[in-house]
Amino acid sequence: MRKTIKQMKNSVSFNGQTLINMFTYSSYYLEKYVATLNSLNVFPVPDGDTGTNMLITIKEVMKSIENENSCSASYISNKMSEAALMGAKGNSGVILSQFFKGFETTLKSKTNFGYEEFIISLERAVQYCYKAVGTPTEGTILTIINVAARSARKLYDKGTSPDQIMNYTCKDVKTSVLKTPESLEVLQNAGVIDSGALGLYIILEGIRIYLEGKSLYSTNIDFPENLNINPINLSNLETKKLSQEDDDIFGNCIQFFILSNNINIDEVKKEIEKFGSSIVAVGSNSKIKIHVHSQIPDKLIKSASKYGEIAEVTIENMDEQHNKIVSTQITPPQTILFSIAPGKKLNNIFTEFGAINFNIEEEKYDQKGIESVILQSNFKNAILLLNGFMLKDDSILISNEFIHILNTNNIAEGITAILNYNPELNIHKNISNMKSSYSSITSIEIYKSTINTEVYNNKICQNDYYAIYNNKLISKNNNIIMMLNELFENIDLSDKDFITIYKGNNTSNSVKESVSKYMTNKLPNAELEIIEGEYNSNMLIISIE
Amino acid sequence: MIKIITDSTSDLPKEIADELGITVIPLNVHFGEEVYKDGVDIFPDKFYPRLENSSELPKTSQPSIGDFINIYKPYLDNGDQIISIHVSSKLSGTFNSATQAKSQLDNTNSISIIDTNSVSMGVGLISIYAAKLIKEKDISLADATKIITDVINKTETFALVETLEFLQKGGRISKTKELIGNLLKVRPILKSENGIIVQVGRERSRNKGIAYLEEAAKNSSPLKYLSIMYSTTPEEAQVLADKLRSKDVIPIIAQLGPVIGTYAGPQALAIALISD
Repeated sequence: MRKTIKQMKNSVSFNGQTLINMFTYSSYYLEKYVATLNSLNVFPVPDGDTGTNMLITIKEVMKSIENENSCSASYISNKMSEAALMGAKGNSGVILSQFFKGFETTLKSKTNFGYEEFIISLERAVQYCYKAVGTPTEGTILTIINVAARSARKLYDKGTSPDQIMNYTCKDVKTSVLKTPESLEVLQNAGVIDSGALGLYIILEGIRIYLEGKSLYSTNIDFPENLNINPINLSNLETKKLSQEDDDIFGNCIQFFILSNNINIDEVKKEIEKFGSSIVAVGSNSKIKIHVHSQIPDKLIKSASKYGEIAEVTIENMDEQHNKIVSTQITPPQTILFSIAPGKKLNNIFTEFGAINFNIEEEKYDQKGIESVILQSNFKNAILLLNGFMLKDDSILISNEFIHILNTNNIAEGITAILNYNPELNIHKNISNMKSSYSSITSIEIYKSTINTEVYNNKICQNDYYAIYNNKLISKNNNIIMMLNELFENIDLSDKDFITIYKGNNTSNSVKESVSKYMTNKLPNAELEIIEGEYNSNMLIISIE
Repeated sequence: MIKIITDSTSDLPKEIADELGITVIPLNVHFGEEVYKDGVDIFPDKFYPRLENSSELPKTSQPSIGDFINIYKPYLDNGDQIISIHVSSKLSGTFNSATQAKSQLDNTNSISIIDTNSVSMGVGLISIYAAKLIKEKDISLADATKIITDVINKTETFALVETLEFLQKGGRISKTKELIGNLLKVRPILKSENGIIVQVGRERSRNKGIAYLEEAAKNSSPLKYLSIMYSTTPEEAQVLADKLRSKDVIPIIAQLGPVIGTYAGPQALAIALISD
């Protein structure tokens, strides 16, 4: 008599040793890709250990049945499940332990099993896994287990040939893994697929390869080629018609982020310069914000995408600023910080603390350039730290009620001000905190004159040292120590415990060393930090707080 | 009898746990694939030098469901009830493991699991409070749970750390929001707020950072309990404790264990308090 399809399927006989072999394959491939899995880990906690946790968990499982010769599916699945439960590391490990529990409960008191039981095990695993998590989230390992169980069930019930069930199931699973960012925003923002989901796919692929009777070492899993997804669709940009002819020389004002592991900000800038002007590039080596004017935004963004993922693009025609041509996920910041500071080092310090800095030395910004960048930015309030820059009285910035100008005398005051900015507080509280913070520090500018001249109505001879404090010349002398002695005669240094010395390129090292030695003697318990400011000036600043 | 159980992120000093009969369940610390149990086979004396010298940062993981079952079951079999007090579920899977373990046991009505929304001695002080509460009066599990849960809102934890590097690499603080540069020495002041770690201040000098902690303790006074925690600088913890000692509150000095130390790093100084 002809066997029915169902009987045929169940004529495939698995046992305890089959389980061991399946997961030996899974464990092998998981180990192979553990570093990749770790690197994708952004959810629920981006601590880069999903791969390691899954691997440790499955290794505990394999250790528990290392020398087991038993053929009983019941016995082996029970040992595996217990080992997974005890050895589970991390969230993904906990979920994986429930995956094994699905097999344990299904195969209880069975020596042999077939596809029917295999699929029931997956179905039970779905239930246990979802229960194992406080708030089940789709787009994760959970989704993948679910897809695997449903897909296998559908294929099986349809009468698919048994040796093809895992093949098609894994294909469905792979598609779902690549779609995880669609369900989970944090993945989308980070531009990655879910790490745990990929981990489970690898485990299933291990099972598939074993069931297909292929060799472990000479076969590889069907590993997804593109793990990074692109958070914005670049083709959108090309379909939008940009009326370039009507634009003035600026063209469009374009802003976006580049996200990557290791970005060289200068290299990116150089590349973008080919396509536009007025470039402001700020950020860290993992996230840069670019602001640029260009007539060819599509080419520019394509080119920038070489350096990492592009996110949060806004393109504005500068003649019609409110007409946003492309905009994805824009949340205009409540407050933007701007600062004016010369040289690369200071520029980086201010940008590290969240400001858009005008590097007046390298970028050759004049007042007009500064005004135009600030006015074109998208914000509710802006704070501008002048750091000694003289803004003309008729500046359009002064009359704008949403632009708050802090007249910090130098970079030391500017840095103190920005450190006391707190995004959680409202603009008025911030302005008052910042003002009181920089007024409370003592910052003194020290110069060595290269010519005979006059400073604040005092005659200064060539090679004289002089100090300026609160816009007054406080002391001058051709001996630096005597100059410093005189300077500190009337400055109260009680309760001061932190000294920062900022040195420009044109201040000699001997001046820097005399000052730092003098300050260490003066305030022996204070911490001292020297910043090589890399700005082109002979000004040295002593900041005492 | 009600039994108090906490986890090793509480940083509860061993003498106090022993004296009050609090069981501490260890989390795991991983250096690569080497796994240690916090406070069982890895201690601060060996951990911090290794943290400072290791190129790869350690990872941590919650106790497994099985670990929890092994601790809970003997007490339940003995007819005891359990209050299990844990680190914020937004920072660790420990609470989830405990909850799963509970659901796999029979007499689930005898276990009450509390998410403190806090960390380190914030969890420790709540555990001390709980242990004293059940010792002082005969109270039902439900009533005790309610009183302990109410005290969570009065618990605060602040920390001064030398660098955010460990917290950022460990994924316990958001990367974009907390701006601390690398080019300038700046020390962040952190607070546990609604179960997550947020930056509430930044100071350049260490003394001002410590003064911030002192001020925070004073702002929350009067206090019921206060703890000063350190990772590698016991002298500083002692000085701060002396400053904050009053006739009502004697600060408990505790060392941050390997799991918390993985994120706080060396030279961290912190306070936890329960206001009265």
